[in-house]
Amino acid sequence: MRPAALLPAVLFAAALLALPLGGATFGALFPEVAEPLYRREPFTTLALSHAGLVLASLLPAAAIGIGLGIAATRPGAREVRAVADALVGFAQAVPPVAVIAIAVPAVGFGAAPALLALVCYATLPVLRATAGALATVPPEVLDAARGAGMTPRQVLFRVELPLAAPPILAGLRVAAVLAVATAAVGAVAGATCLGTPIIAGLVNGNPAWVVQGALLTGLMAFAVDGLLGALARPVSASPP
Amino acid sequence: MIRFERVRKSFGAARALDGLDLVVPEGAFAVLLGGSGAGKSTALRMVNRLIEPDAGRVLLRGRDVAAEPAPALRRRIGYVIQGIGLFPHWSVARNIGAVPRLLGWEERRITARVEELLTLLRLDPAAYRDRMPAELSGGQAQRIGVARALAADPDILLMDEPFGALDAVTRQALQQEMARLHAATGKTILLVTHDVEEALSLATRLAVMADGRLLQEGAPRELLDAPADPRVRGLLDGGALGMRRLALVAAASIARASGEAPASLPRIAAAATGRDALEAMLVARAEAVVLVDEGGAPAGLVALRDLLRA
Repeated sequence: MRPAALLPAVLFAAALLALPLGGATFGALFPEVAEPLYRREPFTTLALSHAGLVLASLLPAAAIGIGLGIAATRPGAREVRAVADALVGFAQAVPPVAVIAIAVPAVGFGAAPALLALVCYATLPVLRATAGALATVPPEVLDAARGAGMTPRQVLFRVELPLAAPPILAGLRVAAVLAVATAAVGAVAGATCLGTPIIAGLVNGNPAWVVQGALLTGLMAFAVDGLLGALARPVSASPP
Repeated sequence: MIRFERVRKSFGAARALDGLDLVVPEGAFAVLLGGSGAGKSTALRMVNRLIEPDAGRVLLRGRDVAAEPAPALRRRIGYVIQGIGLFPHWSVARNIGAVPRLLGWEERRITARVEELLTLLRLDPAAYRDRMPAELSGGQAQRIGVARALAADPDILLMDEPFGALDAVTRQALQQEMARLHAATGKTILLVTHDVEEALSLATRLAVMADGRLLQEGAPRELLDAPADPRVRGLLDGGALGMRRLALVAAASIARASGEAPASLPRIAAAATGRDALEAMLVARAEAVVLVDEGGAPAGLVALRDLLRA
């Protein structure tokens, strides 16, 4: 793993630890606010809860996205692909805030509406990447695999998925970064996350809190991008 | 033995096979020759059930291929395709061992078989075993493709335009390689091509197809001498009928005793064809050529007029 890939993660960790000590700095930057540092929950708690939201939404999104992507590329399933694309495209066309707003009456306040929105958003890049990657497996390789006597399951697991793995991992990376950014919106519905200081700052007219929440959310997205990028590269480069 | 019985197949409105009847004898090197759209690839791919017939049936050693689950059937049929289709994420050894692995062979036996096949295809095992397909030339990759098809010692070998993507020199080398492998293994081979020269140089049985039907089947020489259909004549003639006929004749079969062969005459190997003999005469501007055996001793003489008996 190259050190450059770790840099965003280190920056994020440093910001997480340093921010609680920065009361004086924020006081100087925003002299008009009475309480320059967000202290209702510790930033580490917010970050962990945020990461929890991301993970909890990413796993189902990966399962649905990869599953639909595989289903859509099976022979005689062209319609599945069209329907899946339309469905998930629609889910992404609706803004996250709207999904959350619609979800609140159905599933209540808290983490649930945020999770619902996140799953909707993270599924599309995974689905697109999976279907796209599987479609690029050369037809003569598939012909050879079937001709060698592989069952459809063996063709999928021994040939198609290994060949499609790098783009699928790239899709997961996009989904993860998207989920980190979108999870902050979950604070609107009362989910505890790095968006909480942002919402609290907006409601109370405290720009310092908004900056603190936004800074950590942004750095977390960078950290996830860097870590997953470093993870994806050796996988794609290594011969089996 | 492979037997096609009144096989029909349509893809949408396009009729690929229109009642194909064909028998490929055991041990034959059978070539399906035809233009594009003749239905030859469709016919080939029905033998290992990559395509299922709409009507009729395909029998392998007397047994309907549909009677067996397709994966099991395919594991005992070698399959070589034009695009080569090596698994790009697997090493050469893993590619060759694909079918044995599916059959559950022990790892040690697979390793030994891979060595054996690389040697058979004249590739140094130590140098090629661990290479990835991207590190091979087209000719090397197709040799690996052939080795992979032979790995589990299949009853028959199906080859779909196997040398179509190769340059002329490599193609010829691999054609000779296949003729040698056929002679050495005695396997039944069914090869599809649109290349007349390739068909004539490889086939022990030649089947010419057009519009999803069989036009004529027989020994290549029979088809050249007595084409049953204008389309067969048109395809095989190509302005080179005489040369093609010469290429099918062993020079030794039209040779006379050499006596004291003049040293000035060109010399060619006794295994050469009549066409090789003519070529040697034209090159040397001589009216005869001396055949020599492996030891270099004269084994016969072919004069220009002997070629007329070919």
